Amino acid sequence: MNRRMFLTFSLGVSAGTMLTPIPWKMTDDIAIWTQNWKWNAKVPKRAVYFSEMASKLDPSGVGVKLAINKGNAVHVAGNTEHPLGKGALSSLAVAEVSMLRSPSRVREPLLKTKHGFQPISWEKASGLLEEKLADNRNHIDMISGDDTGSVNEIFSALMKNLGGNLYMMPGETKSAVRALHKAGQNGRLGYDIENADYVLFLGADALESSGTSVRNAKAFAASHPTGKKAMATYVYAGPVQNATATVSDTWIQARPGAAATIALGLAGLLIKSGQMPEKSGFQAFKNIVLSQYTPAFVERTTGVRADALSKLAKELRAASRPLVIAGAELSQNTETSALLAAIGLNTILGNVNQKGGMQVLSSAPTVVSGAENEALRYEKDLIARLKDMQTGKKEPGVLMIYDANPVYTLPGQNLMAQAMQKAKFVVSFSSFMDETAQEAHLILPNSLTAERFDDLYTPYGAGQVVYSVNRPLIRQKYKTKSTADVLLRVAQNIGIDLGFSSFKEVLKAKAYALGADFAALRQGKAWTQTVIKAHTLNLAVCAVKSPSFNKERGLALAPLTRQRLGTDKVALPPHSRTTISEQELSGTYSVALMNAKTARQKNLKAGEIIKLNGEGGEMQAKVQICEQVMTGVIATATGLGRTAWDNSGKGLGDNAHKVLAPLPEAEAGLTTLAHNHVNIIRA
Amino acid sequence: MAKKSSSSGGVLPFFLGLVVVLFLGWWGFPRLLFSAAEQPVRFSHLAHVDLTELGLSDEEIVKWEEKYPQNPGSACEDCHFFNDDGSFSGIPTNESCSSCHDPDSEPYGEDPEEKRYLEQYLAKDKEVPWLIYQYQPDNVYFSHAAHQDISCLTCHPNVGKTDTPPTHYRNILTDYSNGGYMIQFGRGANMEQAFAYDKDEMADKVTGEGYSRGTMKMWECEQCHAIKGQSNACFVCHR
Repeated sequence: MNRRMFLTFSLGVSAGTMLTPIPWKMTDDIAIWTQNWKWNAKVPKRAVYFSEMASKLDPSGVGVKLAINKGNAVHVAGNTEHPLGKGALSSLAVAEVSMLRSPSRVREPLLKTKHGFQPISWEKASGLLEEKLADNRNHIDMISGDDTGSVNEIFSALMKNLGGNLYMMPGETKSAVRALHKAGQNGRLGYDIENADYVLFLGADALESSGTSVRNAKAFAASHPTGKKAMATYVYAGPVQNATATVSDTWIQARPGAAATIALGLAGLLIKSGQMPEKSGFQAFKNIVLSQYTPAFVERTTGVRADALSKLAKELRAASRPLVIAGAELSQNTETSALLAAIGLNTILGNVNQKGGMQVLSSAPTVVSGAENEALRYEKDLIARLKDMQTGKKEPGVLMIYDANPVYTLPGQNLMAQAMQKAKFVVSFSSFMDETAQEAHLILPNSLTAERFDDLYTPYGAGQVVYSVNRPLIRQKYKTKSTADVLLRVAQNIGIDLGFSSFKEVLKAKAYALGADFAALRQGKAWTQTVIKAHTLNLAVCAVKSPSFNKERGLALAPLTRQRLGTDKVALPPHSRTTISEQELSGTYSVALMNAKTARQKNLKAGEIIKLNGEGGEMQAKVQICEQVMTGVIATATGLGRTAWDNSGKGLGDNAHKVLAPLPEAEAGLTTLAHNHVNIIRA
Repeated sequence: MAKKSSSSGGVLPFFLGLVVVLFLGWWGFPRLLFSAAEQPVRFSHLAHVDLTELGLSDEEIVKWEEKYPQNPGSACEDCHFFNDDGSFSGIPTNESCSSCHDPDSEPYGEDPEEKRYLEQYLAKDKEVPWLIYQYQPDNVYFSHAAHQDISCLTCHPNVGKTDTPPTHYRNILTDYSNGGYMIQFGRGANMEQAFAYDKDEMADKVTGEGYSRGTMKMWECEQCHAIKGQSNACFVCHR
């Protein structure tokens, strides 16, 4: 090739290059390349996905949609398709995400040494538990605060094999199961509030903390449309104008613990007016209510005037679908006698298992062999057992605590803490460093709801049987494990065959036993059953004296539940800190709300620091005058006075649970937590 | 003197250079510029979707039913759906897949790829790093919700009819995706159809040749917006 040929060839190459994409594409791409350096931060490409689950932190079991991005929960939204939430959320359901990263989470197994808690591997921790359980057979107790989970079957079967006992935490579920059992049925108590046209709440703060409160609030919203005529009447009878009383059509002032007496008084008036259902035990019931629960008696003991009681009876009689929901200002204080009385009253009204009435729902079938059925699990009295431990009458070898914080919640100062001190070895399965966990010898942290398999069966108050299954939706944040799986493995290693190798298999068996589709349940779809069987309830046992009946008429404490301030299981979620009102906390003091008349009678002034002294213990609070509390009653918010958890809730106010004291309910065979009479001591 | 011209070869070197560079420019250059990769899991849409909705012949339907007897007959929206907040779910994650597939259970079919997905991804809770055919850069915001009346196939290849997902091509300079080694200027395929029909009318007429064969360039967005009478203001797409 000579010079001319080379030039001609080059000319051809140059001309050809212009006809190729090389110069044009390179110019374009280099321009883009120089604007997209590799080190520039990129927006995550994966979308946010929503997965359905049922909240276990929220006692009303609200169904939620968890927003997930790359295995992390980033947000929580309501689930319009879930029967227990219907698209609404509670503060505790939101905590399913916000508490995932809580500083108070226990991040790995911890063993208490003389230098405090030290991390320990899961292998060693499980080994230690196996050793303690094997060495202490027949001296093991377990406490569970999970009222809706099949995990209790594993605990129950394990305890049976080890010669131990499972105790369920006191609360409205326990009282309801016991009340139904007393009335001759095994099952769960529910309320078809959506279809009721007249709802009477006796003490139960059902739109805030009692039963399926989120669903109840949705039912209220639907029946009371803005700017339109209400389609149902809601009446609240209780000592404080709480969340339920505030929105109800009528608030009737009634002393704390008055639910049973009012219900029986109303039953008497209805019977007198001719409502006499042919039900089992009616004659005995009638004899008691007519002879003992006269309007005058009800007025004297509860503060509800006789004419107000007559008006209530008239309204109940006139309603097409009346419903009575009994409880207590603090749901865990709900007396079995109150629920028995409400069963009696609803039966007189003829609404049991009727549209808009009280529902007797089936218990969940038991699938783990060796596990006690639900009625038997709720039969044992935890408070009585703790007292035995406290006094040294019966010292446990191993005490295990799941999904409960009894050191903070149970009444009677130090009852739980002292009982724990008597135990040789205490194991907490808490996800958080709560007041109980910090007293334990070993903490085996449970994963949170979004991180584990779990289930939720018909919380107290649901209008129908509801079953939800949760599955791990996000990556484990820390080295936590599902307690159910941990204990199944522990059982296997100490030679106990519970018939299942994983909790997931238990849930599959439960779904099969119910006749539900496990594949749909796994996706977060709730399974419901509305078939109502004819139930026969024995009215003879429904007129039972309230345990607070014989107590002296002093100043009564009405603990207020504000779910956003936390519950027995969860301390103040970080997102709620800014929602604490001046009626709940003043500086670092809890607020004692009382009306001007009570303050005058006790010679107290607003802003004064006082001590409320009850049979259980005492708490400190600052006086605030508030006419939303009836005379003779002091109201104070619960959820404060934390001594564990993290800085967002610690050191704020005092714990009202300390003041309360247990009261035995002989007829129900349980101890309730309702003793709330207090004296005032100037601090 | 006249022989000089013959010794230089005349116009032959010119055409030789022209042809060589045209070949290199149109065949070699794209192969240098784009890297080709297969999806990490050979996901068969034909094993999952409702075959009767794909416009397949009866013989084809029988053929795929025989190959994938466990086909659940899913609709596109079962996996590619709008989230509650209006965002588009895009390619499903393990979350969606696990609503049917269970790593602890036997695979539904005999396709080894299903077993591999269950073992290597779902059982380990590891997301499949799917390759995105219509990758869009960070500086633009594309709302699927605002475009849902336009057929998916206006912009996306018709993967619904595939047993093996198409090869993914990536521009090594820009990271943009491309529909093949082809470098395309000007109008994309099916553009007239894309503009002429709405979603329902398009259903029978689309050929599966995506209008945009990869990352959509700005002129493509602008042109469609102009024809549809939509705003072309910067803030409509850029953030």
